[in-house]
Amino acid sequence: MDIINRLPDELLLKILTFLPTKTAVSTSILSKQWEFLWMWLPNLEYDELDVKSSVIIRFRDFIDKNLPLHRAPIIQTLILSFQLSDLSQPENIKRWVGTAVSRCVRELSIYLFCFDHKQPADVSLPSGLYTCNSLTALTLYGKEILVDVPPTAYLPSLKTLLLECVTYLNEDSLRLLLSCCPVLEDLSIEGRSGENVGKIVVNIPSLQRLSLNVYGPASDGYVIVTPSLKYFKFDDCEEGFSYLAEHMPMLKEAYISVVHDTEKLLESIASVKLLTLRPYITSSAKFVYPAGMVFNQLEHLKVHIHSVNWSKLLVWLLRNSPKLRILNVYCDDFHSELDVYEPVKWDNEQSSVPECLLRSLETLKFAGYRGREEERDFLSFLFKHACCLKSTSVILHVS
Amino acid sequence: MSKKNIVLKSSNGIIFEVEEAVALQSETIPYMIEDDCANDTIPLANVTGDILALVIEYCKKHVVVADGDGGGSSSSSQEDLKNWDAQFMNDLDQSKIFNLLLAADFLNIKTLFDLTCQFVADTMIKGKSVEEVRRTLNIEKDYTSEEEAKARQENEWAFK
Repeated sequence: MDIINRLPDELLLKILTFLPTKTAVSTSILSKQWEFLWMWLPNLEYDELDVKSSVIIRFRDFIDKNLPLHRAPIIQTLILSFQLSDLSQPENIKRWVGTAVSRCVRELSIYLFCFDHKQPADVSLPSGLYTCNSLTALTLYGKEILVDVPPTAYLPSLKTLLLECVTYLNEDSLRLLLSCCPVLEDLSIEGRSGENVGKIVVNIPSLQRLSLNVYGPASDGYVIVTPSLKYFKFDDCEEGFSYLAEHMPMLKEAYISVVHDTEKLLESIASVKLLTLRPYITSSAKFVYPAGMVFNQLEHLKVHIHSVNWSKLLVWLLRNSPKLRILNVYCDDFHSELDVYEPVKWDNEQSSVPECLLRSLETLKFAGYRGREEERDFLSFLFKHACCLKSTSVILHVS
Repeated sequence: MSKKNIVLKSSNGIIFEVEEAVALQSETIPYMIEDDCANDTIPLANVTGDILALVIEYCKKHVVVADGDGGGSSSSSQEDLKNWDAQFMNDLDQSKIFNLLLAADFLNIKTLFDLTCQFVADTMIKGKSVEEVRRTLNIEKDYTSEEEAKARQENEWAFK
């Protein structure tokens, strides 16, 4: 009758894979059949924030003892979330990562949190991590993680890399890391950059997804050479950075939110199908409209607007997006005090109406409408000329 | 395209005739068809009729959705399917659940196998004390009290 007691260990182990590691470990005292089952789990997640403070030392001893004895021949995933404090021992984490590397870890994530104001020691990772053949995904989070990449670094299987708020040993560290991943497809660099970032050079022919959201004073700008890119997110609220981005012919989707040189970035992403634009432009005067630029593939445009003269940018985009089908306008925080509305000189001759209004624009959504002059002007122009519109919604701003 | 039917026979001799697309959600059945092409009936010696009926009910539900809207099932139908799955599992008693798990494993139907494992993990183990899990799954404690106390101490972080 008790069918579970007759289930083979492989099936019980499968059931354990659907549980958090903590719960799976607790099944070891159900019976002797279960005692070592969890040690065959391919995926392990140790989260100190989920452990009572009275047993933290015992928790660390547990990992120290059991990780080297783990029975699964390959560690598919290891996730370590730890808090650095006076009690913390950075060498523990280094040792566990070393063990995981020796067990051919595929996906490794390390999250270090520090709630103390006292600066604890940096946590460096074993150099073997940077030459780990099996590693396919790496996530490093926390400014206490010191990224110290040896010149011999080579990660031949790494497809996904996420670096958030980490500290780099020197200006070469990030550059070395990004240049040693020949099959990288997905890269995110996020969070406040410490010192030693230097110029962020992303020259990765295999890259398909790139997300850059770096803030902090230390970067010297960006060089982006990613011919296979399909998704590009670039959020940078710093002034004065320089961007050098090469054309991305495969691009499908982009999110661009930068302070200046927006037009330079737009030129490299002109093949995009879905574009979200959230410029940090306080005055549209800063925007230089490049001549002869056409978004030939653009079907869906989402624009977040801030400044009074947003409609100039929008009209420029409409004129240069002949296949646009869907337009979403979001009226965010409004800084009307920074500028004075100069009515757009809509030329009423049919020839100057953007082609997409006459031929393709089917859906319009305008969110955050406040009934300002510039909004009324824009919408009345649109309603007058957009002859393919099938669906329109204007949502009023709610303060 | 003409629809081909496949005949499955349970361990207790019950015959089910199903569309090929329904049966082919099992990755084991294609091999059995190849191995046994002379006979149109595929014998499933490890699966009883009542469990096979459940497997077929699941596969029928899932094949319809995979077919609909030219392959790409909409988010609402995904949502419906999730609710249907939850109801399907909820209606089963424990013995049927474990037999279904064994059948899904034998027939290699990954989504059903994962659904069943997830259901067992969520409803019979997660959030329960060791004693409750033992009771739910009827697991006999074969540790001595000393052994259990020692294991509990070493793994203390894992208990509530």
